[in-house]
Amino acid sequence: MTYLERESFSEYDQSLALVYDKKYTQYMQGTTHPERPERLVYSLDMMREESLIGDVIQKVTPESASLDSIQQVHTNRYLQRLYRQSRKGSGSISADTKITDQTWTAARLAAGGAIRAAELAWEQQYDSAYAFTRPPGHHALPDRAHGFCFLNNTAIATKAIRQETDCSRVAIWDIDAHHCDGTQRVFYEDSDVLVTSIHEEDATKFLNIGGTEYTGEGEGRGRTVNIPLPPQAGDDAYQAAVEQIAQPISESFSPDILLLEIGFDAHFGDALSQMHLTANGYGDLVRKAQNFANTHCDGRLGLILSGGYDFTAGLPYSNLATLNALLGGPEDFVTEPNQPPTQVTGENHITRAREAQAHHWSL
Amino acid sequence: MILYLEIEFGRVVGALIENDEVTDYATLSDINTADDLAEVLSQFSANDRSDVDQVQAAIGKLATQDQRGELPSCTAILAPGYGLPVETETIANHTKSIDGGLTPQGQVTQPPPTEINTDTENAVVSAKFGHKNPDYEMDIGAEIAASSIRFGHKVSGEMGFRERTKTAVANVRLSQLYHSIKDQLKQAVSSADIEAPLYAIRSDGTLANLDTIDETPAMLLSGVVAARAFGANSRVERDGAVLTMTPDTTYIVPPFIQGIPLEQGYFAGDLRSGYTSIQTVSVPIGYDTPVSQLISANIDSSKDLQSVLRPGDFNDEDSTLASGQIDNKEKVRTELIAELRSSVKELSQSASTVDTLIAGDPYIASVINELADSFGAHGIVPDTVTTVGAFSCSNSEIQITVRLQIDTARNIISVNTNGEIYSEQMDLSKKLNRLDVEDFVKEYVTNSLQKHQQPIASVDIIESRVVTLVEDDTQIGELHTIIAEGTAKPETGMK
Repeated sequence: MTYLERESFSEYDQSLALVYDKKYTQYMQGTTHPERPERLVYSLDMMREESLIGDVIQKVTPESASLDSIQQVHTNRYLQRLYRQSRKGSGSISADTKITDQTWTAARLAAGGAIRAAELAWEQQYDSAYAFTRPPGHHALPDRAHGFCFLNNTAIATKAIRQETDCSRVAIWDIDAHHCDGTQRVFYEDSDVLVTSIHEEDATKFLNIGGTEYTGEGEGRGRTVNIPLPPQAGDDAYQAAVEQIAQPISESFSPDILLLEIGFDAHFGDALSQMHLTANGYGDLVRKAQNFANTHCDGRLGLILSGGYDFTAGLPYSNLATLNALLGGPEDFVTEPNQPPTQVTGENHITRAREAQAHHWSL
Repeated sequence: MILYLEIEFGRVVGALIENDEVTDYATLSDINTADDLAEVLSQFSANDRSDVDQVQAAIGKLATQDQRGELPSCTAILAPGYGLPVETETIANHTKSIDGGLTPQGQVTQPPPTEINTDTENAVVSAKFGHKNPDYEMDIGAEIAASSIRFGHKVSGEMGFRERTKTAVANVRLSQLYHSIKDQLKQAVSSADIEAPLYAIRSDGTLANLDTIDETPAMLLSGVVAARAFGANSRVERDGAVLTMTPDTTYIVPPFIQGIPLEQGYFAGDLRSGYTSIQTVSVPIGYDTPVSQLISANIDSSKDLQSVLRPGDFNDEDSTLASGQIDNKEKVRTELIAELRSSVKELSQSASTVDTLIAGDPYIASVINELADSFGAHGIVPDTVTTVGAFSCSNSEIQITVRLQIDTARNIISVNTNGEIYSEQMDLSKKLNRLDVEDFVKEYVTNSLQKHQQPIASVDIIESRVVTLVEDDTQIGELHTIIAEGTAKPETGMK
């Protein structure tokens, strides 16, 4: 036992693999772009300052996703475009998403990180695994992308884990403030992948397919669950959305593994949404995912980082609360410098979302 | 010729080593003053003393005083800020927490109080993220009336808050004792007409110039154990677990892996230090442990034994392993071997197969074969086991870890090394790429440390990271953080 281990809290009885590569902090779309290295840098500083990295949390280095695994999700035409523009060193695939000479390498490494986290969660060498990666991926569609994303990390990891292992059914909970339009599109007709998104209503239009009426098609009918919440929705609203919709539907779906795509941009300090989640609110949601995975997936839980742009406050403290929950720490353990503003409960929104799913699930 | 000194509580070993052989050695017990220390040195011939061109001292007294609970107390003023809670009772003898604190960027969320009532001789000021904004801790320190203050941010930029704070506490509590030993050592060496540079052996077996660790004596806590483990391994030329006894504790050092020890911090006594230390398993039995305690203990776990063998249990009339007046030697041997056996067994189960046990001192030498036999392992007693630590001297290097921050927006370079922090204004307007930064750091570290009497020969970059500094959506600069490690052979020759 080393000294550092003795500095951790006795409550921490869970093991955690943090899938991370230093290159995640070196890639940038532009020095003032919101999706920038500091998103991870200050959170890593927090982990060091709280003596979490080292013996409490094990770092695991990922490999880049293979071309074959990426092709399971994205079209060749799109991949060629991304590759060529990145080789050229400049370009963009949407107004907010720039391509640089690092894009192709960085995006493949992020996808590889998500695959590794899913593999680790499946293998259960650790109690949970967390892909602490960037760039994010849930706005990447098979043939195009936007919203700071290039390759759909979670979708690629989902396909990979189903191909590599006995895993056949995957539940994805996406709690980024923005709707996971890319992930939804990939699995819209897939009966074995349940995609649940809790997001801010009309936060961004993007494809505008995050409404409750989008529930899947063909064999995928009922496998898409959208829970749009109103601006200023906070901890109680998110808890209710999980307890009343995500959890019971997932239970009926009976997945082999739960992947939680966690975006910290629903934190009250984040400028890219109007949601009012607190750091401990994130911790509670992670605890719910953990409890669900323990009860219904033999403890198989993988986390994949999505958005979160308040890199000096919202992101590091929310990330800390997430780690605290994953390690088995107490509730409400994390304090943060700023006080949360008033939150709305979003009861009507949750009712509407439940009603939309009533055709497919008994709630 | 190198003079190796092992300064323990009430006992000193001196050895002269040349071409990897001990040419002469002297030991003395009941030693407490500079004159006593000089007496050890006087046992060497005047010719030999004049040939000494380097002194390396392992100061075991620091750890022993800690384990006996005889160090002065300390008050820690903490700004635990936000994030995870801090279990203040585990930090220092007394703690005071102040409201507010710093963010991960080092921004002050609430100014510290202007009046902090403390009536203490030794104080530590430490804030979460204090290394991101050193002025914050300094401002708090300015309000404290204490004769000796240490600051968390000066300990290290790389340790976590709790570890950094506890290490600062160790530094301040050891300060007075370290300075008195240093003064005695300088006085004794001078009166023995030895004119050579003085180095202290650190807990990881590397050296530090005696004058550069005034602020960080906790770096020396495992110096004796490190010297003996390196020396024993080098002498027997075989990797094995080294067992060595100090006044109150026996340390088991796990086998080196290809000559490199496993590392950890220090946590053998009340103090905690995050400075790199050779890894050990400690058993609370030493050569000053009263025999009556040992043979009546009859306790299964070393934890329980530790509670029995507290310093308060000492009785001057008791015999000890070192006193040589043991009535029931066989019983003592049996108990000692039984205690060591359980710890070695634990080590071999958790770390690696232990097939060789090496004695790191004369006391352990007397039981090592019997102990090894009980495991089916091989027991080795190095020749000249009394001075085995001296064999670490020839290959010792000075090593220094430096943390630099290069702020290209404010044109400031900050350097943190060995508890010292200094900043320099410099024109950094030119954009730096990674290779530029690394070259710049190597040159800067070499030059600046030479100015501070550290003769650095090579500099390795251990870690390098950079963040962009943005104000009003415009990039105003970069903040580079670089951890560099400098190594050098110690100086020899006249001072």
